Amino acid sequence: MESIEHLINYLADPKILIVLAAFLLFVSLRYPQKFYTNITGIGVFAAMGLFLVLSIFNPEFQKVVTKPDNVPIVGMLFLVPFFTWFSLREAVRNDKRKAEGQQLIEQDETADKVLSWPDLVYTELICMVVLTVVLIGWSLLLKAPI
Amino acid sequence: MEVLHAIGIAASILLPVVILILVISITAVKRGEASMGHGASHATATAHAAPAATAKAAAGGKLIPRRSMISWMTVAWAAFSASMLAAATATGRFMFPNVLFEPPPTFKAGNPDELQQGIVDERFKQRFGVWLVKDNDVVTGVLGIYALSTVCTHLGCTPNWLDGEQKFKCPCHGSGYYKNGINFEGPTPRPLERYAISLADDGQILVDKSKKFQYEKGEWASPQSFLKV
Amino acid sequence: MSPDAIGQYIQETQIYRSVFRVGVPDSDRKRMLVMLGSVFLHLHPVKVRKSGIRMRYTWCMGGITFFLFLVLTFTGLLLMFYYRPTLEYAYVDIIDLRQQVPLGIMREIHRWGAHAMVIAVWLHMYRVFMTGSYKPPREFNWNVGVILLVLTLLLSFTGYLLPWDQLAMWAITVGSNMARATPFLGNEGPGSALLALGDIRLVTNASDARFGLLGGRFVGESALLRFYVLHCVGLPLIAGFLMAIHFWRIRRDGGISGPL
Repeated sequence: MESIEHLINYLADPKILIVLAAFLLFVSLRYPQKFYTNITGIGVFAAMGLFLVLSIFNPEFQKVVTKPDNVPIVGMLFLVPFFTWFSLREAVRNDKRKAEGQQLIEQDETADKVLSWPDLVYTELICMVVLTVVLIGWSLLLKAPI
Repeated sequence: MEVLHAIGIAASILLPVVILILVISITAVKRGEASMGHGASHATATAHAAPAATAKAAAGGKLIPRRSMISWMTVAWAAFSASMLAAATATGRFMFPNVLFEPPPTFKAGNPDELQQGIVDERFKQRFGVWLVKDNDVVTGVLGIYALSTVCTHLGCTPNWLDGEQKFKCPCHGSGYYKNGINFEGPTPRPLERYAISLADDGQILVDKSKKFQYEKGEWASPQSFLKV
Repeated sequence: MSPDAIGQYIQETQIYRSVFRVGVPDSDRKRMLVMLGSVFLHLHPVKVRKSGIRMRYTWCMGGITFFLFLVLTFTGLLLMFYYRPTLEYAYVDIIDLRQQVPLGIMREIHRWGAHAMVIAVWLHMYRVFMTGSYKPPREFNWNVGVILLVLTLLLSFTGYLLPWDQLAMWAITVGSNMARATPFLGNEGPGSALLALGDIRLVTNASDARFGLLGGRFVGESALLRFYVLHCVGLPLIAGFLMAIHFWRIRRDGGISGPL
């Protein structure tokens, strides 16, 4: 465990982490078909989740990550890579369709129009309810700093 | 006085707007007259009845405006822009208060004899944000009193005087200064600032926070920044 | 009386018909009319493209941002009943909002909602970029969106000062000190000495951009009041105005996720 922690601390040095991350990003954009698939997505986010779960036992890590004002930052650390992967996965799918001479996913969907009521409005309502529950749960669990 | 002030501002905004409205309405009325057919009823007497201001095209009535010495539209637009600019300036000036509810910049800080040499006086730190030190001047070597600002020159926090270690230490990012205010550790790029210091008429020390002196600009050589004893 | 019968009865009363002109949208015609007839719903078009309701495409982020804005406006309004923006009361009122005001989580909802809104607005910007929805003729709307982003961040900045604790005061001190360095208009910025009438400097510690922002020479009572007014009234009004333009432009430029 000690040696793993040492390795992670070494890699977390901004000089190394930023360069490594930038390099990985460029490589992934060069070969997007390999990197932005369902398997890699599940793999990467499962790995991140595992890292979080295992590291939470380190008291210093726990203190930093669970500090109320830091929780949104931790959230962003998941959300931004997730949405990058999410959007580029669609991009890869569209690229494949274009190469095969088919229409893009959105062009296919554009032809159909659906009624706002109920399709859009119901989706929005569910989204709002979920968001409200999340916000209230968040507010009950974490106290704002003062 | 204030009333005159207000009237002046109001007039300078209203006047151009009034001119604008008048000009546009007069221009519009004139154009309207020309196209309405006041000329049509005198159709036969075309030579002098057809208004010199317009020349009608065939059965369509397209007007060609007459060129006049002054382009009234330009005047109107200029007046409008000027009034808008005046309004914006007035709003901007509104945001700068004339009266501040802050402690006055100058204050009396007791008699020079109350200070011991080599000791940092913290009596005025809380209320006025000033440290008084009686010591040899770092620039001239002469004994006297100087007033150091309690604002850290890094990002503006308030340092603490650590008597045991004989240094000022800022709790925010660790900037450190010697007793004379010169920085020696931490992220701060320059020494603490001095305020103007002099002797009041009744013999007390007078500190003027509205004048500051920065060491790195050579301003500590100014006699206003140091009170010789 | 069965629930159905009660429902039928209510739907036939004059009050109901006056409020809900269309009634329950159980036919396609009614579903279209209800979208046109309601002032809130008519933000949406009657029909949308399929990709417009796909989370895969829109991520829902624009809608989430707007919803959070409404949540923050409402919770902010409620907080205003118990908060006084003066040096004497600001801090204790914030403490009281947690300790003695009913449902002691109103401040938390407001603060975490603000964090969530900032995250949502960045993700929304990210989505618009990834789907190329900024390309002509949508450049103007992208710019309006960027201004809205800046306004969101400014709302966070002004709101941060209001608890009047150490965190707030120093954060705003550091942040507003940046205004000192503005070229020409900042006391310690380049070119400020040029704006002088002979010997008298026009741009001083008590008359530069930072002074106008804070209403004083340091972060004090005037700054608290100004930031309170900006946070509760000024910035939300401007943001609301720009949001109206933003939403209208989306409809006008072909609807959400419309093709170019």
